[in-house]
Amino acid sequence: MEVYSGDVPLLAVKNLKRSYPGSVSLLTDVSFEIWPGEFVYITGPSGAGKTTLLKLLYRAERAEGGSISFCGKDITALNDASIPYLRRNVGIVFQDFRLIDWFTVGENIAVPLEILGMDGYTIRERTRNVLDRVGLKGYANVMTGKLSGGEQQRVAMARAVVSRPPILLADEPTGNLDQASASAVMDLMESINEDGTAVVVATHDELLLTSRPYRTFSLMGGRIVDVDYKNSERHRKVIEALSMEAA
Amino acid sequence: MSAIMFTLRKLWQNVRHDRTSLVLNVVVLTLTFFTVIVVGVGVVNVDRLTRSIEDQYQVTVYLADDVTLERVNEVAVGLRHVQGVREVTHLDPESFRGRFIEMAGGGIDGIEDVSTDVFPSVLEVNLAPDYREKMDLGAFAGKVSRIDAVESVETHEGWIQQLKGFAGILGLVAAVFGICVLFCSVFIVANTIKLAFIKRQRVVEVMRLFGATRGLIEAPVLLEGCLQGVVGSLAAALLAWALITAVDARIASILGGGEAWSVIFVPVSWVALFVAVCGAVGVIGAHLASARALRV
Ligand SMILES: Nc1ncnc2c1ncn2[C@@H]1O[C@H](COP(=O)(O)OP(=O)(O)OP(=O)(O)O)[C@@H](O)[C@H]1O
Ligand SMILES: [Mg+2]
Repeated sequence: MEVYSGDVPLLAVKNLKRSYPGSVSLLTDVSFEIWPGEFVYITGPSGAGKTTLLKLLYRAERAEGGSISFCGKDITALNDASIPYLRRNVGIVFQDFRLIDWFTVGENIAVPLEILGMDGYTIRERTRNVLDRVGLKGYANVMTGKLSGGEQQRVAMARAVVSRPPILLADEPTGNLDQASASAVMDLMESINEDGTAVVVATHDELLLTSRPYRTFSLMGGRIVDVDYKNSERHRKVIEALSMEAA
Repeated sequence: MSAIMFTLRKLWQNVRHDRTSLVLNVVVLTLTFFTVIVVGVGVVNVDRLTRSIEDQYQVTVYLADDVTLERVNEVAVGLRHVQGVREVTHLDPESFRGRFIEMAGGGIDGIEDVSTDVFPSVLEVNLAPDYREKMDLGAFAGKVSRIDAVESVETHEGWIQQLKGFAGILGLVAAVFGICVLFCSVFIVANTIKLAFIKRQRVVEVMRLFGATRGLIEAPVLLEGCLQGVVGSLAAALLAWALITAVDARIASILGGGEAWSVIFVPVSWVALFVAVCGAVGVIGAHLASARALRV
């Protein structure tokens, strides 16, 4: 992937279309932009196509029409062999964690770094730091399957950001968690976002949307019907902070 | 380098997760490969036996009754100069009788009383196996029988042909069997790897989500298949070697030793080749499985 300059959106989705055979068309005309360091919700009723939209973003699904550009590069045109290189720049978190139970916490977190070909020392260092970050210091050698749901989701977040991707996609990250764990996970999302990582959270959790308001895309009838800019103030600050760092 | 480390690490993680089925599979492969090695040992030993028989092979030249010893020696010297003739031995009626009695093992009553005159005087012509194969034995026998002192010539050619034919068929059957077993082994490996893929679906899924290329996902699996083949065939070779050694020792203790009746193991170079082939069989099996599992 070419060096990303930041003068185009991190993600630019235009007239995106996707349906499933036999069902009504799901996404008919979806357009939005996400800039570096933004925090965005994608919301909508169950079946609205939130998961499908995220899958299109990391190319687990193919668009039927429209375009998605990531760092200025159209990813709808990627061939299968190039998809892995796109995914190396995207962190992903799921409702069901998708961790490997029989791996230790450290081994789970190491996967993206191993794929990037990092050496053992760097992998250990980064794993330790990120575990510290998600509040699981000293858990590196614990079997992942033994952890509670909240802890597992934090491991999943550590795995998603350990390779420092510019964007984190989260599909219902708090869906399987109780209030306290959900809150801890969201705190973590915010702190990751504060470091400059763009965060996209797909959720239908009204409480989340009101208690932690950010820019929100509402999916309905195959389109984004409501773009809420509650967060624009905060967004501007992040952009400013980023450009100051760069200068 | 890091790709190699990655592969080894993933291999270890996979193996660690599913030790029992891996061990079971290696045991099945070991037994399967064992049959191939035992058949190979059979072929090697039949071949050795055929060679030792062929090595002792001789054309029997029956001499006329009234030939003088001087003439016999002349004929023997002449025969010795024919290309391919290794040795010519003269058996006079007395020694022929001795040999006959020895071979009969004293089982025939009154043989001791039979007169020496009944037995012929012969020249045993031992031929080098390499030459004998190229030689026109019929023509050779014809020429020899035209010598005045010679009454008749017996080549035993038909018998040797039969022996060789039998050994040839045995070798062919063994080869077909070996190829069939190796072919089946591909599917034994493919099947375990396929099952392993189902059990480790999550690993493949996660690796894909975080940008592992197909090669990165497949490499540890291919290595796993290769190791199954190599370990299975090595264990089979070791098992077969122990068996053959024990059988050989047993035969030696019963027959009191002697080169002709020992059983030998296949040459080390064959074992090495076999292990390499089994490693390849493992890789092919693993590839069959992963190609299916990783189809997008
Ligand atoms: N592979 C598929 N084949 C056919 N239909 C599918 C497929 N994937 C999703 N769908 C359908 O598309 C619709 C949207 O699914 P999607 O998972 O994107 O919704 P969602 O907004 O994430 O819902 P939820 O809030 O329940 O997670 C659903 O009706 C679903 O049945
Ligand atoms: Mg969903």
